[in-house]
Amino acid sequence: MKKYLLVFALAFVVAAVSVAPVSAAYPTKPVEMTITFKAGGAADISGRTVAKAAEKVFGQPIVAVNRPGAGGTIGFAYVKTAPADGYKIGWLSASILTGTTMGKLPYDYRAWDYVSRLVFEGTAIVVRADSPYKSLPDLVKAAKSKTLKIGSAGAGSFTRLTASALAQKAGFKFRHIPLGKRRVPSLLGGEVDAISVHPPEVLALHKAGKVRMLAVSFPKRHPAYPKVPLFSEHGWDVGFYQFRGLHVPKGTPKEAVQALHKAFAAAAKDPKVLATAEKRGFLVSYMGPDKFPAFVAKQNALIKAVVVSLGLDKKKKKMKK
Amino acid sequence: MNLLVDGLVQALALKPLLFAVLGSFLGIIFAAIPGLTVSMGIILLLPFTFHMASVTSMSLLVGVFVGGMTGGSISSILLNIPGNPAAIVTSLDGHPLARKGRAGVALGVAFFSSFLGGLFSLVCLVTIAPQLAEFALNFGAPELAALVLLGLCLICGFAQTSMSKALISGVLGLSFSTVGMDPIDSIPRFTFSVVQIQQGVSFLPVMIGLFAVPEIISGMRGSAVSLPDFSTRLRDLLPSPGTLAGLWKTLAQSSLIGTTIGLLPGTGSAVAAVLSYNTAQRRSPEPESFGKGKLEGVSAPEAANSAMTGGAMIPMLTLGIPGDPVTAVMLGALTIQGLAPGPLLFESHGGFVFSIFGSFFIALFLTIVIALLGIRLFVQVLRVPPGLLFPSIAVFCVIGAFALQNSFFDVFLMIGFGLLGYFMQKFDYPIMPLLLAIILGPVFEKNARMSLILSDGDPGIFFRKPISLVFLTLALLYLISVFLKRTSLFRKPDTA
Repeated sequence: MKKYLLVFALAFVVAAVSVAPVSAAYPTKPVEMTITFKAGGAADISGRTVAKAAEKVFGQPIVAVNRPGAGGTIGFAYVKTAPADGYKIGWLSASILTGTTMGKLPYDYRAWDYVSRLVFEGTAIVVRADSPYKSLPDLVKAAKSKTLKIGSAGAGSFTRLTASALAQKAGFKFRHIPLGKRRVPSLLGGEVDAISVHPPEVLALHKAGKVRMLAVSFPKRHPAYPKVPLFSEHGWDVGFYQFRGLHVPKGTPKEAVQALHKAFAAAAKDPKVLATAEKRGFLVSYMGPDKFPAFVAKQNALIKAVVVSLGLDKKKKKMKK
Repeated sequence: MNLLVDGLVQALALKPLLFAVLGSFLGIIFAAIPGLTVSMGIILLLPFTFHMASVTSMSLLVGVFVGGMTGGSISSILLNIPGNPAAIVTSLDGHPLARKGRAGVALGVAFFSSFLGGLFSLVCLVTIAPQLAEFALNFGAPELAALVLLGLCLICGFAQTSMSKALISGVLGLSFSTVGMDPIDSIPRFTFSVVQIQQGVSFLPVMIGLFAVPEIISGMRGSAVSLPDFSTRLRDLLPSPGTLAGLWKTLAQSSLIGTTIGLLPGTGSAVAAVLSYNTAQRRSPEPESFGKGKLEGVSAPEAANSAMTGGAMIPMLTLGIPGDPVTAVMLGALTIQGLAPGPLLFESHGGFVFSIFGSFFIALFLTIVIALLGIRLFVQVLRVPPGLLFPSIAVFCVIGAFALQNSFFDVFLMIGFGLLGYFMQKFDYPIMPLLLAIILGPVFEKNARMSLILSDGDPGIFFRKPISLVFLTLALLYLISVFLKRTSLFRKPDTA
């Protein structure tokens, strides 16, 4: 009797699955997630950790593939032109907004659909330990009387835009040095007065007392560096932060977006993800497809304002003349 | 000393040792196959290290790094196709040696030079790492610009017959290096509004194309030179102790150059190899025999690119600044393990740091053992019929070019530069200046322009800094010496 009951139950389950709407079948095969930066970097570590955790709920492998180059534009363009079937997704960052507003990509941020935001990363203003500036107000005060050299990862980089937005809020001007990969050695070697940088790159040096993180642009104080004040605590909140999340080609089916949302929302609570966040200095902060597109639009407006005020959007046209 | 012994003991435990063997082996293989690179190998292995103990994971990664700097010489010498960028100049003298039937000796010299260069840099790493890291911070933008300018002047050294052809090749390379996103203002240049071109002409597909495609074409046309028969007995293949002793000067100066270049972020193993090759050539009593199969020409770049490994690990471990793409990945692996490299790592995890040194030593040792045992096998490649050999190389080249960034654009780039390379070879234009210019051009542009931004447009910044002034003077002296030599050759055309 028990046997029959089991068979009956199984048959019922099979029937229930087969009469469910076709779309509920998503995902039936592995999903490919494009990471627009090199393997081993900040974007790669957070992206892979989150994808691994999301697989548990998602039920299919989420395969991370690195498509780096040209500040993320190569990978973003790839996701833009991929088929909108839910099997090609992208790990985006705020670089998509700098890339589109500066005209490196021939479309604006609305060329993709946005699924969810997973993490925030901070941007810190850092000086050498022997620098006369003990706090952000010290530096701002000095910058008002003389031109300081402040370095970042590059002309259109997120770290540069943060420094420039701070300068606009606090009312000073500085000479920007696009240091690229040499940003930390250059600060230590004394070529520049300060750098704008993602905190994990200098955390070990900060703890060893070789450099001083003056302040960090972040939604809240991070447990890895709890004593470093926020920009907003000094009244200079720039309003935009480096964020990372999930986007898909425009027109991806709603069912796919919802399934991804469910899996990644679960990943945001995964203890492994939270542990990695603690170690790597990022902050897990989930936002689903209901609010995320509006968030992106707002961040875009803020970032665009800085890009336009620096004239970074016009350079391409100037070159053509 | 106790710490060092402890570290060695930790690295000699069964599991780390097994993974060190695996790492060294994979490193040699990844480096030897054109299209697969050491940094790619490290990136592929990175996810596996997340689940390993920290000592084991570093044994694996250090093994790949060290093995990789040795393995590149194999295909350079045997096939005239460098397996990785570090070995581009090894082919200049290594391949002529193979054609003379001395492939085994060339490989042996390359492996021993790698071993000794690596050992030298390890000694630096163990003894004076913090001091060297401080020293490297003196190299700012103007110093790097001057150093790279010196490197660019060395293009003249690769002119075999015609100086103007070498210069044309170099200028062509410099022009290619301006394509893509400009390094200072992030403005796309010469991209014709194609997003893919924004990443510029990446060096690896160009290298694979320039070297491999001409070899494949001439191999397929049956015009490959047939090699003389040679003995494959291990005793006949190995270089004699006397040969190695005669190379000590080259080994010493190349190890020093390699370690120093490793300290400087943004330069790389190819620069180390080129600078030391050129130094060896200039200091040699018979510089004109370089490029025709001279053992110093194999030993110098191989010692330098291995010495670069220890050098690159110094800023990574002491300051948390990666010196090259491979150490950048290692930095990521260590952070995941909860060990943040930086000044405090030596104090808080001193035992662990010394276990890395231990793994490094073991990797060097394993690499040379594996390489020497494999030497009989490697030389058999020369006996593979061309009909099998060249198609398989072609397949590896396409896969390799694609896999670098998962991009088909790079495959077309590889093929395009391959055709260019074929015609350049046909019309006797040297390709080394073009390659050098593509590697060094962007580094020079970036640092020169950054110096001028730092000085607010004052070019005096290059002459006020002592280190930069030294490099500029060396560059000028080098150009003068080349000019004098060329004009004297003109008078006696029979010696040219």
